[in-house]
Amino acid sequence: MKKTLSLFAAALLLGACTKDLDIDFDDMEPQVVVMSCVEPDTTLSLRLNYSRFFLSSQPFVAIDNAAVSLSVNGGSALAPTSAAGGNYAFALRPQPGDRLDLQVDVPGKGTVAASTTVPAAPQVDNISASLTETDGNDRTYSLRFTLHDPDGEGNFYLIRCLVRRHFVYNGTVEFEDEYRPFTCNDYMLTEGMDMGTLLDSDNPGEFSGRSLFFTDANINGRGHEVALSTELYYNDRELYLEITSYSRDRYLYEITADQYTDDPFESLIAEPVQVHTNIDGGIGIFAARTRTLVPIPLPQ
Amino acid sequence: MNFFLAQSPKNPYLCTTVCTAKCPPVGVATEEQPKNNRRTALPGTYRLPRLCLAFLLLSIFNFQFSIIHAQTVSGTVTDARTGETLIGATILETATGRGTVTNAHGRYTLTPGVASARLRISYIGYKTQHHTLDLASNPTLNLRLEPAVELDEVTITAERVTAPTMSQMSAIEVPVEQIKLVPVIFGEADVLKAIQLLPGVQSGTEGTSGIYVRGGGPDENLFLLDGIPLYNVNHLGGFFSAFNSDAIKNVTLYKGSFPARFSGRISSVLDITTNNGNDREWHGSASLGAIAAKFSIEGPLVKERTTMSLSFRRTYFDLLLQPLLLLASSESGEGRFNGGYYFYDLNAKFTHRFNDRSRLYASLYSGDDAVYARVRIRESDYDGYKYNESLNLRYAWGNLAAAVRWNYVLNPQLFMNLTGAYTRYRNRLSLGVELDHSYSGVSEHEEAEMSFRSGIHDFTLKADFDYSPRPEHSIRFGATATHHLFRPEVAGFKESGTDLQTIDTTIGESIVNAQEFTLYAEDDWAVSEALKVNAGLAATGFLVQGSFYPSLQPRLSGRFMLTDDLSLKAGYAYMTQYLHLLSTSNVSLPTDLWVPVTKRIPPMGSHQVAAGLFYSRWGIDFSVEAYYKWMHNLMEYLPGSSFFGSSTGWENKVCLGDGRAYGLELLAQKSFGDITGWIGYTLSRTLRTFPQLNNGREFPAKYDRIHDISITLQYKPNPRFDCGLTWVFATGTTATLGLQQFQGETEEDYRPGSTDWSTFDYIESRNNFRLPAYHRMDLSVNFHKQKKHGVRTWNISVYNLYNRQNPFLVYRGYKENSGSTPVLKQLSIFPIIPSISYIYKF
Repeated sequence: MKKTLSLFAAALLLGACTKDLDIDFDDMEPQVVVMSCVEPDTTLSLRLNYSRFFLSSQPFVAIDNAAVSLSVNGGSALAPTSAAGGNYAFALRPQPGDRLDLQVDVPGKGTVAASTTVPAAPQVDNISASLTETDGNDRTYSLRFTLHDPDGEGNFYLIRCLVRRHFVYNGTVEFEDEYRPFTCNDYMLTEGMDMGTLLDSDNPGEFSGRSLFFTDANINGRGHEVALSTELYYNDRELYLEITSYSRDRYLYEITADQYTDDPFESLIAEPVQVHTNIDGGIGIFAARTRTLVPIPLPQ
Repeated sequence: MNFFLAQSPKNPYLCTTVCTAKCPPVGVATEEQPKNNRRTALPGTYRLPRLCLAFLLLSIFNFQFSIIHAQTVSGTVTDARTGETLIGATILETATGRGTVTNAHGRYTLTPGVASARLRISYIGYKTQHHTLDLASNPTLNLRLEPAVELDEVTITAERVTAPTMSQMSAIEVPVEQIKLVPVIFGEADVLKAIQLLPGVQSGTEGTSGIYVRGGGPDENLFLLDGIPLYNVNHLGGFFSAFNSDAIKNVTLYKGSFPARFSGRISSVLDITTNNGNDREWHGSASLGAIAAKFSIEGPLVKERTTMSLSFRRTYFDLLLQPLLLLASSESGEGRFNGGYYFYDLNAKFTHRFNDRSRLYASLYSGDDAVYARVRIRESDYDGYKYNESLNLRYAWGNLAAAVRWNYVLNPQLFMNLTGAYTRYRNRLSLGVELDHSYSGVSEHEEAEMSFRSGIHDFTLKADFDYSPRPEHSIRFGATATHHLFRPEVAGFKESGTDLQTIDTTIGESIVNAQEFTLYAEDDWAVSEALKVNAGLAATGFLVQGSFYPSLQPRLSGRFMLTDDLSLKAGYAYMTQYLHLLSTSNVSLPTDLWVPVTKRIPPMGSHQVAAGLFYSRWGIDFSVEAYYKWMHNLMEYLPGSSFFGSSTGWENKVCLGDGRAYGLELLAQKSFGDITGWIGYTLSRTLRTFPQLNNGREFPAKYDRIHDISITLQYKPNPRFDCGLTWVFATGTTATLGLQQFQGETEEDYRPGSTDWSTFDYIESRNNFRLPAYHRMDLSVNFHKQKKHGVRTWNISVYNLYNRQNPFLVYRGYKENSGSTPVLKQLSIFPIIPSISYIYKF
């Protein structure tokens, strides 16, 4: 009897750590997911598929039978010119300032809809670069430029440094592009950016990373001089300053996606992130961005 | 376990007519109830300070006329066996029905309005005394009550103060002897674990000591140890509280209708008084439990004049671990390792009675947790090369609180308590490395140490007065000034060595000084035999970084006796809090930091209205209380934010919002007889609205438990045996889960030529998922035996008797033995845990 009781107690103790939860999730129907990034002078396309249950390991299923329509600035509805594998393309190249209204009808799922306005291209000038440090083939450059923020409603930005590396392969020169980390100690920008981006920074106000998202909260309607610093290595030959202007929804989507993590340890100690979506009746993002890519002359 | 609705023990402000069952009605309704949950739209609230002020002025005017004629009896009530002051003893003038109760220092003052008084003095568990005396000379009557050998249920229930007759609502006194009977994990009696069983109090995750009172957060509770706030009340990550039950005399929890003398937190006040010490004989106890050993001793340094009380508790499994670690490291031959974890508590208190009018108290609390590890590696070879490396890690955190109090009876109607106190919470991490190597007679030494420390230091001066000018009035007033010194984060680095430049530097030494001031006054006014009102006003201010945050906090509560056994009570309180706790959302860690309000982060505030019916019959107290609370400037962390390891720029990681909570609390409690206990049920909701969270939509708070039931029973058929059984059930807490997944392209994915898309969980709303319900049953059995020099007790406890696997957290994992099939998994941390303890009292 004692032995039986001991075994019973041991079994209870060992079995008490983790267990699979059997919860009825039957009402979790897949939803319509719309993903589209509208850019000026680029053929507009979007991707439609179904979301999947979070405990499913099945691949995402594309939606091929949707009735999709798009109107520009309140005009008549346009139909896609091609639809295959869940990808729908329109014979349309939007321009900054255009307002786009999307409507998607999926049999059995009803209608989902979204709207966006294409932002104006970021205006920069007074661009300069200086070599501040050399260590063998590694060079540190300091960049300066003026960003002109249009007056009016909130504007949303991303700054990145794009580096083009040159390789000689079999006697021919090949290229590889990469976004290079940089630092920016500009409280006017970092105070206006979403604070989650600063999490890895030891010095509040100083940004260090590849993507500096910020709003015009502190620079609204005026020109603001930005200074940043980045490093180039042996094969790096070209440096570009990439500045992107976002619609509000796209900005919120980008920064929440940037904060999102599926790391189980981080999930324990960090607050959960709701990735922003703007599809009425569904999931996803239908929003716009406008990029400006400026080559930087590199002093040697 | 039994507990008693606070019968003004700590609330002598209720005094004068607090009365007994024979004292009829009382009650009041709040004059104004705020209309909604926006702090900017509370017209009624802002009228309340003026109402309270008017009430106080009226009270003062009222008693001015008869103060000269007041004939007063006053004194102290103590235990005849130990000399320990008794808190909440009832003194009743039987002819007039006027009475009072002793305050936190055992003092009472009664002005019954007659020339010759017939007094009846009673206290639960003690023999009742009767005295007749002439009040012409304002006599002092110090009383020593004899403990009742056998509880006479009939007598005691007849004389005790029942729930309907008490004027204070939303307050519960928990006798320490009852706390010790509540079955708990590892058999370690715990105040906060017992408090968690009360209606209106929610527990956190499994095993933690955090309490969530009426929708408030764990940092919104004011923990007072002998009147001094403690900041960190957890040991072992929250599995145990910092309060050693052997050192405690009295515990009272206020959930609402806060008296004006309490301020500084917005959700609850837990007022704990420690033992003064026996003034006649030396006594003590020692116990050995499953994880901790305890020792306490008390007695007279000078008989009936100077006493001391000392209690010490320490966990010991790190000590047991050392030989095993040494054995393991010697077998491996690669060096020596030792390490472990422990916590300890030390409570010391000295009391000196100069005379009947003057007493001095000095008390000290020190409690620390520590994790430590040391690795030593020694190497040598045949060439004479020797190498020694030593790595030391130590992480310690804890509280220190010291206070000196002086009680003085200025005159029979005016009692004064002056306090000077220091309290500190700090944590410190140090990591050191030492290297010694020698070869061919040449030795080199290098050492480096990194340290991290943070903390808060408070220096407090307080003056409190009890004034009983007339039978109908009991007035309390006072002032507090506190200097806070915050040291949010300091890192240090030292390096020295034979060939190294010596470095000794400190980074981030950013001390923040702040001053907090409080003035309060309250009057407990027996308007008629049926109606009793307590009105007060606390004026507080907080000065930090050149900004001053003032706050006027009106408090109003009352009781109206509908019948001899049935009363209606209602109350309103506004509270302000100037401190925030930065902590991770799921677990209590030593990295949790207290920070003050700043220019960017304003104070939190809460308004609470409550009303209830109280009824007593068949020796059972029944109560129904409803409350509505709305809070502003609550703090939450921004999505993706965490404070793990760093508090730098904390203001950038938080957002502010509002909250509201409402609920209904039912309680049926039997306090006397062989079988005692209670059944409590709470129906409640706790909701939050933050512009930056959940798209600005309202969402349930993490610990929004809709249903909460606790049943606690004790059975004590004879002095040799007693047992306790507890069963709790609560709706599961909330969690945020993305129940759908979708693919999306982001800038991070956008690289020339890249086609990879990220997969995201789609979180429709925050805290959208409810974990499985929490329930468990605990059992505790005590066997007592009288020995030659004392009483020994064997305690056998079983936590989680039927091995319920309660959720600590849920996460997405993979089904065992099935490869990559995703499944929702639940982690539970406490299975069935039996434990045994030995206690010897002498």
